[in-house]
Amino acid sequence: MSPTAAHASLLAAGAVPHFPPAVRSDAAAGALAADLARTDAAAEARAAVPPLAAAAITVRYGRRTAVDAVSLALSEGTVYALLGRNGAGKSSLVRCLLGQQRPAAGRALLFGRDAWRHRASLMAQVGVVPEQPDAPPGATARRLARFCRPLYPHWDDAAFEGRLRRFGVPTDLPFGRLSRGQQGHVALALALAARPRLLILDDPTLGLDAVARRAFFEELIDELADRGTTVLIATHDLAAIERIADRAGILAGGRLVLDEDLEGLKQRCRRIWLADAAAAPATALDGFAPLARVTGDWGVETIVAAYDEERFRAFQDSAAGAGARVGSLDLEEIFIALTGAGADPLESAGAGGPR
Amino acid sequence: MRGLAAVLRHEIAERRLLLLASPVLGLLPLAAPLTSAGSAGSELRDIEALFLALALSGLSALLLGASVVGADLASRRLAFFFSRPLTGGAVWAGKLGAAAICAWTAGLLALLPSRLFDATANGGDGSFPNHALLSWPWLAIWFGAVPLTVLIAHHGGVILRTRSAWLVLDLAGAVTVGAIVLWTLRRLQYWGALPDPSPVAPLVAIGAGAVGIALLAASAAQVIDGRADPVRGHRILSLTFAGLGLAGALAFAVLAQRWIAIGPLDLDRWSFAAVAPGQRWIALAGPAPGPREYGAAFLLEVGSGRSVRARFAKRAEDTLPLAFSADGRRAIWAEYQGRQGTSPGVLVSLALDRAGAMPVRTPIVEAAPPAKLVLSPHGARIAAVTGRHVAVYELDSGRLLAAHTFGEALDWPVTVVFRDEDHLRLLVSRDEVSGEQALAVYDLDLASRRLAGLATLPCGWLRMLSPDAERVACNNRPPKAAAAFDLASGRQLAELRQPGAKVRAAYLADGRLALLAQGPAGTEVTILDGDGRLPPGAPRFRLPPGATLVWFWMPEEDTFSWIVQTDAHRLLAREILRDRPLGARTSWNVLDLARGGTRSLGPDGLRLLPPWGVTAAGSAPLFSDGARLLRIDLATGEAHALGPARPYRAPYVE
Amino acid sequence: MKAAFPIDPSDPRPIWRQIEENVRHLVASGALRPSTSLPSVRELARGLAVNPATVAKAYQRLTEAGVLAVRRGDGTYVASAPPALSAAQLHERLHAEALRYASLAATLGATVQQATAALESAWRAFDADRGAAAKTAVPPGDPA
Repeated sequence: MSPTAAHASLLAAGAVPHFPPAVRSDAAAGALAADLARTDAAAEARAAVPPLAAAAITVRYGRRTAVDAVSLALSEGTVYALLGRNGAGKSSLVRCLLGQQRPAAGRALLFGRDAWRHRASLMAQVGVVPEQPDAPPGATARRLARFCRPLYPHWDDAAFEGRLRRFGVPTDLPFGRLSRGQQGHVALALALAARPRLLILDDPTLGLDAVARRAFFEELIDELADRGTTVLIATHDLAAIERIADRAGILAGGRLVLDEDLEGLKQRCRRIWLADAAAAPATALDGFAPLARVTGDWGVETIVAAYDEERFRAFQDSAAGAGARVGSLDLEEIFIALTGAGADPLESAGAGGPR
Repeated sequence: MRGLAAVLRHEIAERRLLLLASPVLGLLPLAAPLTSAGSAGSELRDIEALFLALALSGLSALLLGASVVGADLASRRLAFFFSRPLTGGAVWAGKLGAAAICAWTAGLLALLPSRLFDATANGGDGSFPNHALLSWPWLAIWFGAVPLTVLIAHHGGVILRTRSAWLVLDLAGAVTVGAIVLWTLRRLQYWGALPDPSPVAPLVAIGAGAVGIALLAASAAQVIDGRADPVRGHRILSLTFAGLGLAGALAFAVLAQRWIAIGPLDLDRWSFAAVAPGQRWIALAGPAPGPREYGAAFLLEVGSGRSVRARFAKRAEDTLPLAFSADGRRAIWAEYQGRQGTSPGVLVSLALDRAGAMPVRTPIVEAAPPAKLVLSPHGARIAAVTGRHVAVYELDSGRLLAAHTFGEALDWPVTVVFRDEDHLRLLVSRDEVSGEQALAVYDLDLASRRLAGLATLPCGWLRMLSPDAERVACNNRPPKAAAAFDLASGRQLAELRQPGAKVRAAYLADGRLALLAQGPAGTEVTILDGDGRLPPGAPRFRLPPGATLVWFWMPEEDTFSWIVQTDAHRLLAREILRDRPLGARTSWNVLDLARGGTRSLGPDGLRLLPPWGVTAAGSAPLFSDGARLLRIDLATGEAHALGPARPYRAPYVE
Repeated sequence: MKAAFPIDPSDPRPIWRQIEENVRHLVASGALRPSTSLPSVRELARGLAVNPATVAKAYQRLTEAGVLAVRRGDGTYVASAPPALSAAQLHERLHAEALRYASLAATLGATVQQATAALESAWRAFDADRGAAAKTAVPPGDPA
């Protein structure tokens, strides 16, 4: 079996229509080696200062509190998915983290320095992709690159043009006349060409079609593979981000109701079916921190936030007649369960329930 | 700086279409000569080019200013710049600076074609309008107006786009600041610190400059501190602008208040001083600290130090007339009813004998402030003299009792003397056909309103009435001689001359005539009787060498020269210590008319304050030694300090 | 063979474990033969749309377990003597897949016998397909 055939078989279900030949395997192996050997002292010292941290950030608009004492910290190399419904305060939080908005209380720290006070110098290491493309509409991508080039110490023209080529974005059309997807690609290319240590993406794929979205995330993955950049991404694209993110935070009503590694989150957030709910006491699942319950003629489905395998086995044994089975949830289901229409499910479950 | 350069370059490049279109638009005026031939066409072309350039420049400044930050802010595109390593200052200066540069450049580029055409076609003679524009004041106005327009448009653009509730603050701030500034300007004009009407151009320039600075600071604070947040930006913009505007307006009001709320001792110096009978009150005027030409006037109560601000100081060196009643209980002066210099004059009265009294406007209003005011002996009537015109009023009711205009008189205030409450004697100077000056004497009966001509005397300006207004001493007639006349009959009483000496005559307060003879041997003073006769045993003095009796020129009085009589028995003589004609240090001596001999008064260098002559028995003249106001008892020579004083410039020539 | 390599985010297992187990399975089943080159971390991450660090973690664990070998400068390969799945792993995996199959069969209304017959016939067809190449592969149920 040729290597390429093997790749094809590995990736058959990955929905890649065409797999490029393995021309970069050297670099990839190098990256892997670097990944494995990332133990040198400098890297550790750098990792000690989180590239991004929020310390009790509060944002108020008049009487309304949009962000309520949110604290979080990203370690180097983390891909952090900031989730939340519209109006949950994501954009306000992101603007504070970018030093564009001054929090009413608390501080945003990038690389240990105050984002509001040191915004200009910090931005040299931060790539930003905004929710709405905000580049001057009259400027072509080439002109934008010319504008940015002198501002960044590590500007990489070749990378910028290479990305635009891969995206298929014309460099001589004014930004305002590009499609929404192309604008997003230009924004990403601009952000990445500066070789940032930190990427902050505010719903970057909003309004992008499936193909553009896919291309966007592929570029992001390439960036992660090549440079191990720390990423904070506020997004609604849960299906895509749950494959990439290490950690997720959920903002609801301005509060960070969840800030957890995805792995652990998926372990503890489960659905439990009871074929015959009558066979088990009504409070039988209370120990699992139920979030939502759906009853059908096939039984009762309960979404729980504190699943534990051993306790579940014990429960199965104690209520054998109930026909209890456990299933998993994807990030979207977890997100809906944690933030959805169920009357304040989180108040009872607490910020993620027992850990 | 790199960031600023990048933003500037980028923003200008974004507007390259405007810069490319400007010279093309500038070609339009070149079509003018086709429609109109000759030099008229060339002028038309230049005017068109000028208009086009200004319009393009102004319009660009307006549109660019309104959009360069405002549009980005509203569409949240400003965040693009703030997510780059660019300081807020670079974004602010780059964007607004680019707008101003584009507006300037667009105007200049639009001028270019017609300039080039002029240079090539007309051999560079260039016709008038373009040259006028390219001269510095116009360029300065243009270059100043463009950034101001950009800033105003920016502010307006942010307000209109964000439409946040801070708009209310903007409006309230603008109204408040405008009200404070206008109110302050009116006050300054009212108190004579600013001419009224004030020259518009400097005020507009100062106002525009202040607004420009406030807008500049506000827009800087907005962009630098408000960053990409439109509401916060508008809030900062409004707060800064309203705050600066308010602070500036208040500072202006406070400064104006400091200028206005001054006392007589705050004056830079005194250019006018008049002592009321009884010597309790002094009227003072002079240049005040503050704007150029600012003058202020006061009535100062010597004993208490209380002063009342009066508006008889026209400007720093000029006053409107003031009169004290004979009993010293009332001061009357003229002031402008409204605008300085153009409005009617109103008479204002102050009761000097009532503690805490404030000036009160009388009902008497003259078409222009009179040049001289004369009160009747009882103070119930007043004659207002304006050049050749004399009007007599009843003071309290303002009723006009009589008025007359002496059409043939010289433009020199008519001398008016109340002989009693109902009878006035008027002396009118005029030129005779012969070229000689003549003095016409009239009597005015207020009861019958009859004006009776009494006599015409060959008498010039250098004259002095006797205290009873029955006689006049005329000097300079012929040049080195003097004469005394009886007014009722016009008869010459005496001709006073002395060979080899210059003779001057003046009436003393007791009706006797003092004769000064300045000869090579020195100055000799002889006291004659009222008719100019030398009675037996008449006092005769020889002044010490270098000493002279003071000859004052009093601009607000009709007489040219005075002899200072300190009381019925004493004359004041001045000794010039060093031989300098003006401002020389002097010492004062008293001539004792009864016993003869002189006595030195006080320290050297004293200034005598008007009115120099004192009639009330027991009173004493007022002096200033530069630091204090002094009353010197002439009998004993003791000096009493009445309070601090100001440098005083006597209104006389020597 | 079109061996599926699905990543199922809703699977409670972490993605790196899914990758690890899938590769183990492919190697164990013989679909990936020793010394076969694997896609680079970057390529696989791109293809699966997952974080490269996740792939790297899976590759690292596989390397540590001796399933894969890194040749400096030449990428990642299947180790020449890949270890077989442990009995417990095998059991768990078979059981999970069987559960899925059983529920499908039950949903369709098949009996146990029908389901078993279908499984056996599929096995035979798969065996034939593998042919001689399968000889080196680890046979299922190896008590190692």
